[in-house]
Amino acid sequence: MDCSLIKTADLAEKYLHSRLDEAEMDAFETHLLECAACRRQLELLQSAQANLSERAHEIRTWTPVKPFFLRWQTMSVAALVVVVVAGAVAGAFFFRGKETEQTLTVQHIPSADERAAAQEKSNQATGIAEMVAPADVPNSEKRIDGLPLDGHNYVDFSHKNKGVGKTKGIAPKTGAAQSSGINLGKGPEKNSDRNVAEGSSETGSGQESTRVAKTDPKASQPIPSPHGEEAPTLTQAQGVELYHLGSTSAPAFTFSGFTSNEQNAEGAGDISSNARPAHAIDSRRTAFRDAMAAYLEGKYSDASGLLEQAALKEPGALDVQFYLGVCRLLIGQPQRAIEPLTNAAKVSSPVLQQQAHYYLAKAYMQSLRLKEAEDELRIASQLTGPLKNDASGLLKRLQAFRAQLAEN
Amino acid sequence: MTVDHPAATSSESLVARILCGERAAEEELVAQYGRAIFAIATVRTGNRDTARDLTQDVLMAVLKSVRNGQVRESDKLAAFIQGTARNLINNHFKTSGRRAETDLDPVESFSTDPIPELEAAERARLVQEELKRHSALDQQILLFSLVEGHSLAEIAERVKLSHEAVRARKSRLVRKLAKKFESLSQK
Repeated sequence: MDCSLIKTADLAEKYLHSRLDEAEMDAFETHLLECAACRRQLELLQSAQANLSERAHEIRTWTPVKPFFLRWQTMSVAALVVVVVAGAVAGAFFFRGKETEQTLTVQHIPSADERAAAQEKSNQATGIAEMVAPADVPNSEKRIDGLPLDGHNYVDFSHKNKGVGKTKGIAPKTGAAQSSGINLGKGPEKNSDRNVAEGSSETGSGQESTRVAKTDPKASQPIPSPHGEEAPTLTQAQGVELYHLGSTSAPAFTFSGFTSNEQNAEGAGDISSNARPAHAIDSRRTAFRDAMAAYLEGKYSDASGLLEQAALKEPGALDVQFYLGVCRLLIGQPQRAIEPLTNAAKVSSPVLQQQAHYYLAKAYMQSLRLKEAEDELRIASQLTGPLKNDASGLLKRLQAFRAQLAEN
Repeated sequence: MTVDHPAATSSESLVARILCGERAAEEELVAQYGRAIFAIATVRTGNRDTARDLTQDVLMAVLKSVRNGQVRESDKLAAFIQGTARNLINNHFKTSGRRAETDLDPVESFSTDPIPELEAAERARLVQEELKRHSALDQQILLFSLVEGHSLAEIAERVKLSHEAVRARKSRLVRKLAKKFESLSQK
């Protein structure tokens, strides 16, 4: 093996990713021991890999900034469009006003009999309206204002996994998805374990149904709360608030987090790359690798299935448990997310432990086990890590929410 | 700062001097092969701390073998060291955490040399400095390639550039990094 072959065939990079066979690996390493230039090249790649791993989230979420002139052009076009549209609207109003004036001049003045008939018709219409909408239903129960969605009806809101409640700083651009297991709508529920009944008359009586994925027999077994806490009865407004509290996004993942089975078993496992800045992908962790590739593409359902296989191969790997829990959470199976996330919370690193507790709290919230969610958030807020502020803030909101529930 | 040993002492003479009991020759062997062994152990274990310990184990085992005359082909010392390193690293995984035991004299344990550590820190700083000087797109390309292990075709599709453009951007960035490294090596 010589330097030119190493350079042309990108052998150093392949070596870093464990893509050389045993014979090639031996030859490359022997050459490395004799050639300072190739050793330096490998060290360079290792350093770059370590640095990029540390800043992976920042780099991955970068979006291109348009040059100034482009923005200026866009703004000009937008301004022109606004002027044209405004002119058209103003013109339309102007001509319509003229027409109305003309209409008024020829308006028919009804006779006394005609006025009485119209009054009777109007009364009938009012009666129907009262039957449809009882007066004692407050407006806030029918339409929720002040939401981040600019007053969209929350029924629509429940069907769209919009980016509310995004966890600051930990969601990658690729593959990030908002999720909540709570469905407040009437419509078909696809990825939800819980379904809060919709409609003002139903919410008053606090009807609540638990819905589980038909394809998953495990999911149909409700997990009893060890605290003996009953699932709370929610109005729709409270359901929306809980949706906000419970919705979550995918935590970042970098491929440098791959570790060997032995290391996981020995060191109680690591969840992410932070502890090991630069090393090769372990070829033995193929199931985990495939799962995380799907995860990065946002295919959480596929990732969940692959992670289940990985969990069978590597029962002691806490990173597998963590991402399995997260994936189940993201595909709307919060009850099934609890067990793997509880396992993942046994990790030794406080930062990683915090992540596990935080997402476990989300799983409990989506399962309407609020007391346990509060306990988990309390632990997460006491641990050192990037989610400390998020956990503290969420804990306060959840405590306020529970206090409000208790009052009701 | 860096001390290279490319044309270093030929392995035959090194082995001969160690067999004669020359302590300086042992230190030369450590200086000549230590960094490469560490790089290999880092890639194979994925953990710098473990790699550091394993490097010590490999060097001690190699020295012991050379002293005892177990290196039959002294011109193939590098291959001998590579084989020793591979076996010890594999044993490390098999024993899952149990430290390899050697019966060498206590005086054999090599103190951690601060120079390589400082060099590594300096290298990391230079790499960061150079990477940040490049566009985020270039960094993304290197991230997808070097960290996530994607092929150039996959990256091209992901960043919406041609395969050739991605290849050019990546090789330009790596070349600049290498140039930066050369300046460090020449200091």
